[in-house]
Amino acid sequence: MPDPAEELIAELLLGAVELLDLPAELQEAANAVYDDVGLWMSRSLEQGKWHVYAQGSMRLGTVVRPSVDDEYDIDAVAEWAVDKEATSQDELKKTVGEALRSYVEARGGDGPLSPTRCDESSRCWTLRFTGPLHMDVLPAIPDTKAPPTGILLPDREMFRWQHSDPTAYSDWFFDRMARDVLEERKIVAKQAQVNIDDVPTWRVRTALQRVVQAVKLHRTYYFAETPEHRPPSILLTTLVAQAYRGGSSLFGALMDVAANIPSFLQKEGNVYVVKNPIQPEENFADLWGKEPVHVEMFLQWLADLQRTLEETKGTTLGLNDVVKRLAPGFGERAMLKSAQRLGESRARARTAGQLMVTGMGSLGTAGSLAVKDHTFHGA
Amino acid sequence: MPRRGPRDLTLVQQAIAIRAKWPAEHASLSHSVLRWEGRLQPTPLSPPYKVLVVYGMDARPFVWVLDPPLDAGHRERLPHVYSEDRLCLYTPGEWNGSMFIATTIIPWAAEWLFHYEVWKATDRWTGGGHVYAPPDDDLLSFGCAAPKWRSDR
Repeated sequence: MPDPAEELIAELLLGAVELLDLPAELQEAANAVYDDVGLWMSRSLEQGKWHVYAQGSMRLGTVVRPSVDDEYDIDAVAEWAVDKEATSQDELKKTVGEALRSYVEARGGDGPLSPTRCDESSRCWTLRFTGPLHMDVLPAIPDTKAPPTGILLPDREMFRWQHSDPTAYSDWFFDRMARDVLEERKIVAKQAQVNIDDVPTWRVRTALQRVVQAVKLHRTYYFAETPEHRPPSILLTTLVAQAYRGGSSLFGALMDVAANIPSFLQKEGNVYVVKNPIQPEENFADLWGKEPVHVEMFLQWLADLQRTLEETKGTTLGLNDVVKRLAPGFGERAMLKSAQRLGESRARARTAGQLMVTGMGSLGTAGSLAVKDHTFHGA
Repeated sequence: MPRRGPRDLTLVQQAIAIRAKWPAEHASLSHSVLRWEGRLQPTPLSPPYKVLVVYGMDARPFVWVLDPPLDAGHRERLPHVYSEDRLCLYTPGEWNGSMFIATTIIPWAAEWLFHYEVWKATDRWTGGGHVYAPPDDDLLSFGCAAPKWRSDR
């Protein structure tokens, strides 16, 4: 039987994560931008075909912005179907930059997600929009030694090609939760009264995706003052996906994952290794080998996450105290909004005759007595 | 002042119904007044608030939170309370003596406590309710009015 205190904390945390996730409308608009930029590049550039697609958290369904005021930060790959010998890193990046600038000029406008600017950074281009998101576009070419989805990316010094395979990584991630994705799609299809085929995978979020989002969020706040120790999202996502064993609530799953992750840190000699599951020669924890203090900080952070949840579960000072304890780790404004939504959902449940009360006076979906509808008087 | 009428439940009936559902720390019943003092914990993470219900001759239950004391914190006033921090739980006409306190007033008090905690966290009252401000000197706290039928008579 689920623990009611854990369920309540999970409900508040989930509410905050939902508020920081990319809303469906924005996600749909961003998906259209990927296709549109790809078409634009293929048409406007003379040589070869281009494919523009989501990578990273956008592809994995684990986008989470730090606060309700922040922009969403999403990634794209602009892959040019050309041989390595036929171009250089410099040419590739310049070509993409020019195409994106002309795209901004052609498509700029007042639409909800129209491009407004294209800025250069060390390995990519950043497209900015009228809506609250920006898109880092990484120029790439196919890695003929890692077909069919491997790619080569320019490195920061524009010197060596880096191997990557965001498509295969996301296939690995989705394989680990295939049944949950199907279940969630069924639920959404039933709610919307549509066929399951009309519910795309990006529309739903599984428990694993929620755990990844919550863990990334807590990481962001914990390492806000010490960004040099902050573990990268790809490392966390990989470890969480490996350590996750299901669970009845977000609370239990977070505790479980935080407790299990250390057993997935392998040591080769004196160096910690977290292998890229689809390219085992890549070590996501390569920075840890150079500075062991990173590992120490990482383990301290996991302990802090567990301690925060345990201490919150132990409070008897009320919802206000729960919010106070969770706010530093998961974002104050998102937690406050989530608490407000919790209150409003209980009020709606009462109006619908679905709010139950237990013999202790606890309110929720469990209890022996339905709370009769009524109106609190006064302002 | 309205009196309990022939259609109203007797104090004994009310007391039996309360005892069946809500454990009391102190309860008493005289020929004219019913008192129940018990604990309500609106969430598993809340304090078990000590709540007092008094129901007497004038046909309306009075509800107070005794412990821990209600705390408006940095805000000027508590939401949805009458004078002396009695809880405002219903609009005039929504409750009458033919209804069981055990299945209305006490669950509503628990719900009041739930929204009180949300209010302490967010500054927002999420329980819904009426904004009602008649010209009445009972309006001592946060715009929460005395029931109209009281000031009328």
